[in-house]
Amino acid sequence: MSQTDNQDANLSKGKLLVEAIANGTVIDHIAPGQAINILRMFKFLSTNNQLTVGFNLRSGHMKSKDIIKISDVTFSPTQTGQLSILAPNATVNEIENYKVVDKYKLRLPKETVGDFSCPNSNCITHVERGATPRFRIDEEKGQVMMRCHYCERVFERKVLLQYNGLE
Amino acid sequence: MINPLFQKDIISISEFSKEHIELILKTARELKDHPRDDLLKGRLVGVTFFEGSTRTRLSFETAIQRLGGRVIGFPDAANTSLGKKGETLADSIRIITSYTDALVIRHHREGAARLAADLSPVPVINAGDGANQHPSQTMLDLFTIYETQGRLDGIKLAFVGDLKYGRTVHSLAEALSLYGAEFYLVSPESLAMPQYILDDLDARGIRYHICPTLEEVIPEVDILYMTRVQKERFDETEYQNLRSKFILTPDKLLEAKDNMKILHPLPRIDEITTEVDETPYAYYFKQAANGVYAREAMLSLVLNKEI
Repeated sequence: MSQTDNQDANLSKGKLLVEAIANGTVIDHIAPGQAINILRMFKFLSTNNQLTVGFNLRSGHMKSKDIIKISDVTFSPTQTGQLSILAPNATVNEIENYKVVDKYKLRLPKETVGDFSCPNSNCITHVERGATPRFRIDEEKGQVMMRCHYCERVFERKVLLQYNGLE
Repeated sequence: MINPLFQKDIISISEFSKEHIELILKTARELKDHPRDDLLKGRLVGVTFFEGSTRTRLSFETAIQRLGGRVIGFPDAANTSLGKKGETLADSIRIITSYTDALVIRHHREGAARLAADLSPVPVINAGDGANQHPSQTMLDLFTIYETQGRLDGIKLAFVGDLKYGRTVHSLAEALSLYGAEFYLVSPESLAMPQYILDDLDARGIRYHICPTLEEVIPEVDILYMTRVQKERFDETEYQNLRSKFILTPDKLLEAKDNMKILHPLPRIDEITTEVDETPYAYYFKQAANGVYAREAMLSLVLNKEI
């Protein structure tokens, strides 16, 4: 199986849109515009790993998508949780020797711990180093809502990401 | 049977089921009718007010002492290690809860009570965390509504004044939503109920009406819940204009229903004139007195398997 799915292979008609990688991870079907935030969140631009990023690529079942290929990186379960907040519904392909050895679709986690600051400036997490920001995640009417464990404020995902400089 | 609140924290009204609310109200009623001086005997409770609040603190301390318990604590953070030496709240909580059987905490930061509860080996009761929660106020409000109306179901209640910043209003609205309340919202436009609360009421199927004047809601409601419009939020001209609209005077009460009662979380400044105190509708001082019974109930339940 190739590193991008069959639809993309068909779209490219044999023209390689992005280079294949020997070992690492391909994050496919990222909602357009989110790849840059993933790069920021995981500080991929400050590593020496080979990195290929595609923005607004045509996709069979999405109107357009972003894609990231990064060499010699695999995601821990915690990182996968973080990634799924930025790119719910993305597909993660783990690559070894140019082959896909694991492939899974991301799902929103129920909680995120220590990944984002709370946008409420009066939240205790801003002054107490022991209070690691935690958010419970719920999907309501198609919107991802994140509720601070401490101050109980509920934020749209977009607001939280914007506050954290990720959108 | 072990009561479901034994050794539990009381941090947020959003965690309360109807069963919990009714257990607290029933216990408060029993303690009001038949005072007990043994339920906290031999117990030491930390009453830690990192932010000052005279009425709430005295109400908690009265409740503890009436139940036979003892108190350590402080009325504000100014003379604590946290205030003077920069100790973290977490460290303060760890130390104090190693001395006490329960902790009451008030703090100006939202989420401080949750942090305390996460760290404490003993039950924590939130006495107000910034603009977030003040569950003992909500309990005393519910207790008073039940006392005056004989029910919580289907109460028609008007919130008047500052509906934007008032955590009391938000928490009471949330709690009464469990009982199918109908709300009348009367406020200056700049202090209107936040949209996220209205969305929550919509999601719960709760009816509410946004009303421009106090007069039109008074004949409709069982409870008129007044709050203070803070002068500092407005310029002087605007404030004087608002005053006339949102100040309750006896002449506005002529068409009130017989069962209608006026509540206020206090302190009252001038949004209810003192002449209203003499009318049969005024209940805010009795409401404040009920705070002791509601707090007695909460403390008794978290510290006793059975009552």
